[in-house]
Amino acid sequence: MLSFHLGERAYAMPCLQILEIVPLARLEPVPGAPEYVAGQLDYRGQIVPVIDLRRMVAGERCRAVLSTRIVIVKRTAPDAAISAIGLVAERVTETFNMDPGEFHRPGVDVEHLRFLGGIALGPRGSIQMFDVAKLCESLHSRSLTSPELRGLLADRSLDRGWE
Amino acid sequence: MGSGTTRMPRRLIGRDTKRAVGQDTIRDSTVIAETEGHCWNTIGVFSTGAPTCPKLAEAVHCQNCEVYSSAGRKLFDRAAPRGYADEWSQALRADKPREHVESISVLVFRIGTEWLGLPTTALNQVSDLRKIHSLPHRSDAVLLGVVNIRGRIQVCCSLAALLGIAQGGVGDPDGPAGILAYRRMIVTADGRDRWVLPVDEIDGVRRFRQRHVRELPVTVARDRAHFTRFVVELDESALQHSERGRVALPFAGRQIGCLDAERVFEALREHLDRGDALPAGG
Repeated sequence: MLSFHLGERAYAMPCLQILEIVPLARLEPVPGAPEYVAGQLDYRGQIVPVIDLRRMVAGERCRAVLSTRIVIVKRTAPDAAISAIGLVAERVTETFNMDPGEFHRPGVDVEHLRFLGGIALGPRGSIQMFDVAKLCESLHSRSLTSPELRGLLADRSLDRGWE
Repeated sequence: MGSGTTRMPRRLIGRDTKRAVGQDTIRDSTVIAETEGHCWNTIGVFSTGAPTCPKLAEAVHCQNCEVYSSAGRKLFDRAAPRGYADEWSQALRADKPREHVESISVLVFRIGTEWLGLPTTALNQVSDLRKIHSLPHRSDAVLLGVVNIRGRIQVCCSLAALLGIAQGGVGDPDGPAGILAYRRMIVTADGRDRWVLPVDEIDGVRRFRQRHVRELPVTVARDRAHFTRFVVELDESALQHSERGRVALPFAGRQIGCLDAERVFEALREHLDRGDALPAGG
């Protein structure tokens, strides 16, 4: 699992869906997109939307330091097109092994943060599971005011077919 | 947040850091404590006196300790140098660099004028030349005798005799000691037995990919063909970057006959078993 931070909180994401982790490159702005969209990236010839996770979860942007990186993950859209999405997170510097069973769901489920899952107690404190699939679902169900962004997420003509 | 003008310890300054100094370096007090104090330099293994850190009882070396590795990671908690983001957006447009494809690693060695290869999976170790104690009534051209390697008595056989190659250095086999100096003994292991095979020279372990494999030349004698899995031609591209253009390949222009370890061992085993039935001197 990949560990990362959003502010002071620690999170974990299974490595299986991760295509690549890249440094925080210069992103193209997406006009009219929601606040949490950091921009778009030309990734190996495909335009990939990039979401600032800290902005989405905590309301603040990720710090622009070297340990803040973009995690490019596989994304299955509802219409079964496989694409990629970039997630900016802080302190993306470590992977570790942990049994998913160690993550226990908290009592409360925040509506718009459904992708935050169970919490486990690691050697350095509590760490919360991050569900990429649920994040993508929630991106679709949110009212995306920008036709450009909606277009980006749904556009299959730009697809290069990630395995 | 740390106060602006705290100096980074000299050991941790890299080229990037020099550029970052003067820009907004975001640091928190823990970073300062861990890197300024740098326990690995004061009470750890890198200290000038004897290490006194209690964590060493468990970690043994600072590099295994959490404090050291966290401090290392915290190095990344600083602003990117100018131009970094743009460089990367440029770099990411290109296709992902391909990883190494399947390759086989082979120990390349010489017997007589022949260059041969043995898969490293069959290799146990390479030893320098040892005295071979011949076995009375048993030793012959193939079964040379026994050798003591690191306290283990092992059977020593002649690969040259098995494959029908004239042994010796290039030139006079009884020539100057320089030739002898290259001679080594390869200790192989096939799970059951160990065989010690003296060779005239060892080049080293090389990796090669499918494209280096060539057909067996038709001129190779049938017996030898039986023991050779395939032939490999290593060219410049198979060399490490540091070697290219500078080191002349000892086997340049020659093909390396990669042996089928299974068949070689089988033949040696058969030979050893057969020996029981042979009369003395046979």
